[in-house]
Amino acid sequence: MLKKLKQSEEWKLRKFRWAVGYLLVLFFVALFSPFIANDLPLISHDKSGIHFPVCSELISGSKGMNANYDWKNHTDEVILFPLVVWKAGNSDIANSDYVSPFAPQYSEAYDGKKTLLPFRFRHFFGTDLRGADTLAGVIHGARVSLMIALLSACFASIIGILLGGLSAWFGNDKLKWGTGKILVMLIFSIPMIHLFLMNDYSENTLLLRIVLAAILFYCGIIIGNLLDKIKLFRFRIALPLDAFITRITELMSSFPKIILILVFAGFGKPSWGNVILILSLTGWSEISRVVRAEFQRISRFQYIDAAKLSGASDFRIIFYHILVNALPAISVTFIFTIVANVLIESALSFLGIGIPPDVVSWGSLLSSGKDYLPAWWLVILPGMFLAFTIGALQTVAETFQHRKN
Amino acid sequence: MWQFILKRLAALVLSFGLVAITGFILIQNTPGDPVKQMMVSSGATYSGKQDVGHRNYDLLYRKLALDKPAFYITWTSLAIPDSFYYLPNVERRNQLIKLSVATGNAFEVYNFRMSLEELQAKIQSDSNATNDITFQLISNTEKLLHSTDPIFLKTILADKKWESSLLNPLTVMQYRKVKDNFNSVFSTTSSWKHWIPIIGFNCENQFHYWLFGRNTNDGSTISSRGILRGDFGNSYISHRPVKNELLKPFKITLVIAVASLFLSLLISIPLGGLLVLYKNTWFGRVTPMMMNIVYAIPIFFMATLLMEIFANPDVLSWFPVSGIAPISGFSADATWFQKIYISFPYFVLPVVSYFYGITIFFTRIMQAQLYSELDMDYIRTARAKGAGEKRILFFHALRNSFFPVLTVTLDALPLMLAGSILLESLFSIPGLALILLSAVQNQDHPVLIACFVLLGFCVSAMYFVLDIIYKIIDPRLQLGQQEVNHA
Repeated sequence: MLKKLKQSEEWKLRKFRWAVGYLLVLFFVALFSPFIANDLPLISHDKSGIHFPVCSELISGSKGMNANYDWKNHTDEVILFPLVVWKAGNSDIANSDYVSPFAPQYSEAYDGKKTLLPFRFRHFFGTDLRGADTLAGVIHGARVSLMIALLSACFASIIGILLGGLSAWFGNDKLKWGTGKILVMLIFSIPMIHLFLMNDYSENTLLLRIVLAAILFYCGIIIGNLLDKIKLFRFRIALPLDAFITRITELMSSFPKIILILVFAGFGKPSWGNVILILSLTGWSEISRVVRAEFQRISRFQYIDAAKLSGASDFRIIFYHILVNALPAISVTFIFTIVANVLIESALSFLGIGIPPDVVSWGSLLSSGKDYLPAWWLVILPGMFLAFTIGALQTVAETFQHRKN
Repeated sequence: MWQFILKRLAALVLSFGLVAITGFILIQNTPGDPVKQMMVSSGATYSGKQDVGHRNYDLLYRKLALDKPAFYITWTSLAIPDSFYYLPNVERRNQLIKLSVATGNAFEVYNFRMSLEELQAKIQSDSNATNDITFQLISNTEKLLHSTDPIFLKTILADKKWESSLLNPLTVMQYRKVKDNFNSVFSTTSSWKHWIPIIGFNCENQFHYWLFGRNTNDGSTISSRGILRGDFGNSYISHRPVKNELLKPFKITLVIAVASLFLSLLISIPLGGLLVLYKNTWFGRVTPMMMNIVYAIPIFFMATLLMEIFANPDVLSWFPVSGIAPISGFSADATWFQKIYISFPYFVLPVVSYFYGITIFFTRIMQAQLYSELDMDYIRTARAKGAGEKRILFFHALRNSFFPVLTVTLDALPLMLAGSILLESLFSIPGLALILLSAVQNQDHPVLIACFVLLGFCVSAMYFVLDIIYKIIDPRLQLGQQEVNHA
């Protein structure tokens, strides 16, 4: 019995190690994807010396390169090709119309003569309708998925930690304001709202307006603090910040996110920034909930009381003690958010919404596979990578969750 | 109990309000001109001249209530008078606002601009605009119309060419009038006026009409019955009322979602019990591992796989690929049973791809709950009395432990919509999500907003009903807190 328990523990550890290894490789591939899958060579030489086409294209855009120059026909000038000699999304007419990875693949010279592609230059995962290589698409799609999922999870974490921390730190009765302060803040809120609603049609003054609003806010607080010392305004009211933020979090999390994302993605122009913004604005509720629960759990520890007694400022308590202790739980939720974002992003690119349609991603590969069912390589291979990524991330998250207990 | 219901009702109204406000914000930010859309879609009245400024445009603008304020509360500044918002021409309105914000004299700005437009009309009617000088004069007036910089305006107005090249004395008089108005605009600038807020309150606004409808029977408005009575406007693509298009797909989506949920409940509860019962055998060790693998497969990948294997004419052609009924429809005398029998194969693949994830999820929860139930005292009593393991599991422990599953089931109905979007586009099922999707892709904004508002209302109403049901089932539950055990 004990042996079987140990076996499952060891197996879980092995699974965890495989998952982490796969994720590291995926991260590396996503980071260096122009150097791994590109139809320009890494190092080439011609009469004027040694060049680095991939680097120069990255630096200067594609202006300097002759786009029709087929490096595969000029292998004498090339020193080093990247691992996959096709670029994601560039069509290869000679192998167009869904060539299987096991079918013969040709390269077409300028005079129309077809020669078999050498093994180095084959499409290892097949092509799609226009002849774009699937392996290069998978590599580029890794970059798209990981980048969007990571960035939006980061922004969602920032928002979630802020709101969760605010609501947990202040609770329902810690934010005690005297009536004078409330009055002053209400009066000062009118110019603050006015600053943001009325834009100066002449020039761009957003920064100035934000600075002015911040100045007004702090002036209001200072004046309110001064006013509260007067006997007239001594009555203190506790503002229920916790209930307010919890209500908002509840509302945000009870609505099906995919509907919100679809509607808002359909309204804006398709761009990366829009997708990241929408994903982060709908994904923060989970993190906020976890942060709030962790804060409440940790502030009951005795050493927080000891820190307060020995004079630690509020800031130090929050950032140095509480947040550091809440990091395991937050990181678990962070990874779950990344999983959800990878799924939603691939769903969005499957449907063709949100991301510009010429960007190759795993979802768009699946969608072009759906159009022609005998092309199994377009369905199974990207889907396999997607499933592996999600499984790996889930394993990592579950292991962290298990370990923190 | 009544307090609980009242609190939940207040939360329901709040969420209705939020959904309505969000939908309204979406409507206000719809790209494109709704007046033009309507003129194009009504077809017969559109000719090239029906442009901004034309009388039909103004009429339609007022009919659509676009000259009314947007919300109950309007927040303007002292420099912008209310009447500017009633102007149909958005571009002209923005230029007027720009200039009056810069100078603070709204009335004079309006006069200046009106006289400038009259000058432009007069110049155009004076000659045939083929003259080079006339062209220059008109371009000058355009520059004057578009800029707000007083120095720039002054230099253009002071150009000697005006006086010399204007032929008609009436036009010259108009020009002098323009100059006077210009001087009066920039004589006393008070740009501080922009920073004084003026808050207005008006019940006759676009939000109110959108929600509650507007019905004056004299033809001066385009009557609608409002969102609360189901009138969402006409779709841009098919020009028919939106609610007629949404009803049938909604039913189809609901049928598939409820069927999948029901099936998954049927399968997962016994499966959880079986896994606990046989937990030391081969079945009980291999199945959770397989479940883990299958759970990681995303929905659309699984659906595409199923389509590849089962609906592919090359591999196995057991199930049809798309749709929910044969294209030719049913024969006229098909009974109810025959209809179900014919359309059954169409439903198998979608329902399978729908419910596999949820079944695995429920099975896991069921397992966890059963493990924690089996440690309880009453199970020990039953074992001591000699009951078999099977009877204990399926008769005693199961009934007490499927409550969290039920909780999660009722929670999962909104989540089914998430999967339904992908599945409906894959299997071409004409459901609500497909309508939403095609509205997004075709930029059909009334349908989009209608779907969003409808779904928001449904979800909020459903949570309200669910909370009351939870409270009835288990009165120990507090407001807004549900515990799911992690085992």
